[in-house]
Amino acid sequence: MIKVRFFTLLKLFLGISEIDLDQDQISVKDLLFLINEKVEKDFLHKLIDESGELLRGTIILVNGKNILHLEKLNTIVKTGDEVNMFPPGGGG
Amino acid sequence: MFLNERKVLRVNLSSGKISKESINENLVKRYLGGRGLATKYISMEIDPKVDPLSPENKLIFANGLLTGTSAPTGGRYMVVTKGPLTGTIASSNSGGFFGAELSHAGYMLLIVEGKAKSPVYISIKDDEVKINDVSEMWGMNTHQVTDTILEKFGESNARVACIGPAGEKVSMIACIINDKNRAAGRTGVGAVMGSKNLKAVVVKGTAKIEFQDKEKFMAVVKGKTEIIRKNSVTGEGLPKLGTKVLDSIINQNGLYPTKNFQLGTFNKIDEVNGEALVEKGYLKKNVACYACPIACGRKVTLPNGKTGEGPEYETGWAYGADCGVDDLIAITEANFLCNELGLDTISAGATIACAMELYEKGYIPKEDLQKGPELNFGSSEAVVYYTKAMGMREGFGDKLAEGSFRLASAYRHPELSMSVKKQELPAYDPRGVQGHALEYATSNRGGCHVRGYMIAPEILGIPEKLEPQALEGKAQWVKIFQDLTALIDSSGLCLFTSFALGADDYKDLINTATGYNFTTEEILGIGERIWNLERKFNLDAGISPAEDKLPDRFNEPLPDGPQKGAVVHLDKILPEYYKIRGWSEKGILDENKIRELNL
Repeated sequence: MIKVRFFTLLKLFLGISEIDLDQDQISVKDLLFLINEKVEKDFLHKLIDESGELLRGTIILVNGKNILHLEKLNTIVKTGDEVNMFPPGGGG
Repeated sequence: MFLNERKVLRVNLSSGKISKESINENLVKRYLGGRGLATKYISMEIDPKVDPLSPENKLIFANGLLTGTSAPTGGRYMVVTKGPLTGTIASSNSGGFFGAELSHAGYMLLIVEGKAKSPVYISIKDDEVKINDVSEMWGMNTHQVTDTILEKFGESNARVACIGPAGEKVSMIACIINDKNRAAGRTGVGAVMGSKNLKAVVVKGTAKIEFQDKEKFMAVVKGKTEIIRKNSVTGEGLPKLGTKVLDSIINQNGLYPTKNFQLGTFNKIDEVNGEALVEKGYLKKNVACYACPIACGRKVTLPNGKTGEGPEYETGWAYGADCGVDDLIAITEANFLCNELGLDTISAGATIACAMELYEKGYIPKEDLQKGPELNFGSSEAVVYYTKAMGMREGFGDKLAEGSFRLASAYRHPELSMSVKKQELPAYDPRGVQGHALEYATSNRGGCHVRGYMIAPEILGIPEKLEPQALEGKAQWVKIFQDLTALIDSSGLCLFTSFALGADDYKDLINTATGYNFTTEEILGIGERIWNLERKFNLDAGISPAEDKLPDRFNEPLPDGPQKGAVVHLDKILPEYYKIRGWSEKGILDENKIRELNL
């Protein structure tokens, strides 16, 4: 199973904090589209732009590592991994 | 009134003399306003070695160049002085409406000198400035004194900046509160105000600000406001969750300091994060400062009926994870107390966290707590009780009011104060972010995150994503962020605009408002000048470059979370930082640099 956790505004928007998916060896990009089909609300625009690139400030972690330092949206997620998703946020 | 017609208002509390003077335009072109201009005045007018709590120190309420205009977020002001907590230059930034009102009254700077024989407040209605006896208001909390003075003053929509009991009792971590819930928070600026027997400043301003080319300025204002509204952080994240949008982000990245920086993650984060403030129903609405399209302020009401503003990210962390507390009600009540008593929430919460570690390790005897509850991590009772005690300097609170460094030193364990230059570190473990670690060590006002917010690139990915553990290039990034922040703090705009705007945007706003023709390079050069002026003041004040360091704890590996094992590597990037800054290997400015920057 891949555990996907939603945080901040995404959690409030979807009304769920996490989802488990029976998947293995799937890219983050494909994972996003898969989840978007499963949940009731279309949320991809909160994380990616019209061209399919991550919005500046979107954070996706795989086992605590930001995918921008891995293979970005092509990062492969395996069973047992945890994925965390955050729309852009900031503060002080 | 044109922007450059605003004056310096000088009030000497020793002699009672009140005077006004024009500002040399050359100074404005080199330092703009706010942090830059006020630091220049402090440098020119006080001996850097002065005792911060003596009448010879000066306290400047400093409007930015654009404070009081309709530039987006054009309501920020600074309080600049020599800080008693650190002995460095102190410049605390605040929002709300006070600064804009002072600007509309015709003043760029209010310089308070000397010390009144008995407690007073200053009232300003445009040209009419008076020093008034405070009498029964001395001793009131900030909310009470604000209401009382406004009633006495009798002007609709006047604004008040004041101290609470903490400032009156000269706590090292006392702040200045304006508009009841905004704070010029750090470095003990409230203690300087209290040491002058100055309780409050009330201001009413009626002037309209004119521009050389109003249409041009307003077109630029419209364009930049649009950028801010459309940006995901400033247009959605901050308005909807406030700064507590950061709790989960920082925790999941493994740098959320827990139990006085002993851990990097908090296992009870879901009870106290920004999401919880919404889901528990405490958040009622968001609040905006003057001319602000972001509106990141939080208006909250607790189940027990208590209402107020906050907590912000830093406050929620300092009273939450840093103290091991998972009780959002206690955290919020402590926050309300800080606003009413006039305490810096970061230093107050972090000092209690330090005291908790000292106590649990057996370094503070129980009898020293007098009537207070035990100082155990996780105690909701302790964080509320000791905040009140700290603000009133009662019982053990008297020791806490000195801040964590002096507290820990008194109990012979200064290494347990998580501070730099005696100012408490904020809500990011430096082992998780190497660039931000460098900012902590080199910030001119001691432990501070906002002066060079490397969290933006290293964690948030704004303007681009840097690997947090990487060292290469970080020193240059830190310098750019520090210089840009100094510029923004002098412009009168809010730092949060930098999530959406860049140096070019600030240049456009400044140029169209003033008629100046700065290039982007010149704008950043102003920031560099301000940074170096602050550094020079500190060096002349006797702050050694040896203080550009971090607590020893950060040489021990982070024990948990996704960045488990990380340590700081300051020794590797500090020399590079000095070189990029153009300083000697020992971190000193030389005459060439001073001349080059035209300090």
